[in-house]
Amino acid sequence: MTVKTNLFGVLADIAESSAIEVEGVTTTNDLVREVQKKFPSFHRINFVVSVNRRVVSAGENISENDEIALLPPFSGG
Amino acid sequence: MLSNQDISRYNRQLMLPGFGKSGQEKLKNSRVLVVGAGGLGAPVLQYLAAAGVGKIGIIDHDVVDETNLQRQVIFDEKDIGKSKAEVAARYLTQRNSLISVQPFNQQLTPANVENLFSDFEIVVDCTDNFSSRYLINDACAVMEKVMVYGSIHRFQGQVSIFHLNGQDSPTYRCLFPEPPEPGTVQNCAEAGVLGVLPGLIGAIQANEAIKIITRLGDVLSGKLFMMDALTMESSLLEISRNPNTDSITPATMQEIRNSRYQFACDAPTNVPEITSADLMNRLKNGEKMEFVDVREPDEGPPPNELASRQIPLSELDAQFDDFNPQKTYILFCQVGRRSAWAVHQLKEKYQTGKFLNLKGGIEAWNQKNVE
Repeated sequence: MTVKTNLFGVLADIAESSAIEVEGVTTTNDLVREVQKKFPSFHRINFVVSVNRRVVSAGENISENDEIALLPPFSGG
Repeated sequence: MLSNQDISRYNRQLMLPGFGKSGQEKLKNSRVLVVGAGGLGAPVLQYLAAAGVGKIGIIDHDVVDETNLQRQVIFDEKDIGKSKAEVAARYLTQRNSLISVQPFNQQLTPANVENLFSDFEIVVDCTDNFSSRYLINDACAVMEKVMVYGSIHRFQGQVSIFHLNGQDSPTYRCLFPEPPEPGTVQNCAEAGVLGVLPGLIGAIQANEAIKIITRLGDVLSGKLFMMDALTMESSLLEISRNPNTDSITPATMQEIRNSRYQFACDAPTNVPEITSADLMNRLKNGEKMEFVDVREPDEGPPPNELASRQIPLSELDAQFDDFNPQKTYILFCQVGRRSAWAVHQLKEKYQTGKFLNLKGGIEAWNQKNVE
């Protein structure tokens, strides 16, 4: 299964894109593992995952049409 | 009680449905503390003062810098070098003489946070670093203050309200339990920022603060507002209270005072530094110094006319022995944040020795070098 994942902040800067497609994932844990494989520097960033506009904790199931976003902390003021 | 002057001045909001005299009285009796008089602080302060918030406190220990003017619209050219808190307070008092404004020209620390927060009900987080943000969050949790959070990254911004109903409400730690690793998240000085963006996000923070005080509408408690100024897309994400964060949040002010809030992801304070102008003079006088670039190998630009060697901050502790404490070292990076940590670490390691941080980093040096 492929899910579209929106990226924010420094994650979008690293990926040079505000959205990526991630294949072969059924849970948020799979998703995090896959994006970290795709972009190794994501490992060092403490981002949170939102599914259908809700920030979720680890291990949530996801399906194809879910709206997924990865949010790192912002620092600027 | 509202004076005749209040009734006339605030007429346009008094006529709003649900606002009226009682809304204005609530604003007049409210006490709001704004931490950080920068890009976010500027619009927050302007709108809170204009709306008639009775008492406004401003904490900022910094001075106005030329690079602030592009977004910090309450300052002008003659303010450069002056205390941000004091200039901002004077500006607000000139705009609205009916309110009281108190500047605090000092850095927020675990030692002074209780004293500074005690007179206020709402704390607006307009800071540009994680040490202050976690300190504000934790102190608001213990002291039961509402926190109006805002932050920006390049073209994007976010706003949320934390601790609205004490322990039932989400906190910043429900979103990000611990501060990020050093070097992973950049602030405006490193990442750049479009001047209008903090204007937009700060205006939303001011709007939320006014809604909380006047009890109008739905506020962003349990919700994270996100917007992108390039695509003009925005979203509202639900955040839940995360009870797992209780164990990592200090439970008392004593615990906060005993905690370290100088995170490695922010620059340490009280690090010996040298300005580009001073460095140039010392080089002209023929002084011998060693230059160390602590940026990663693929980072540019190179320093103009400085023979330096590269030791990335991440590898510094493995190369401590390469330093000779009899020599003078100038450490630099892009804007001086990572090199401040390098100086901090070297001072801890050697106790003696002349390790100086190049203020403003290579950006300031290269600019000075062109002049």
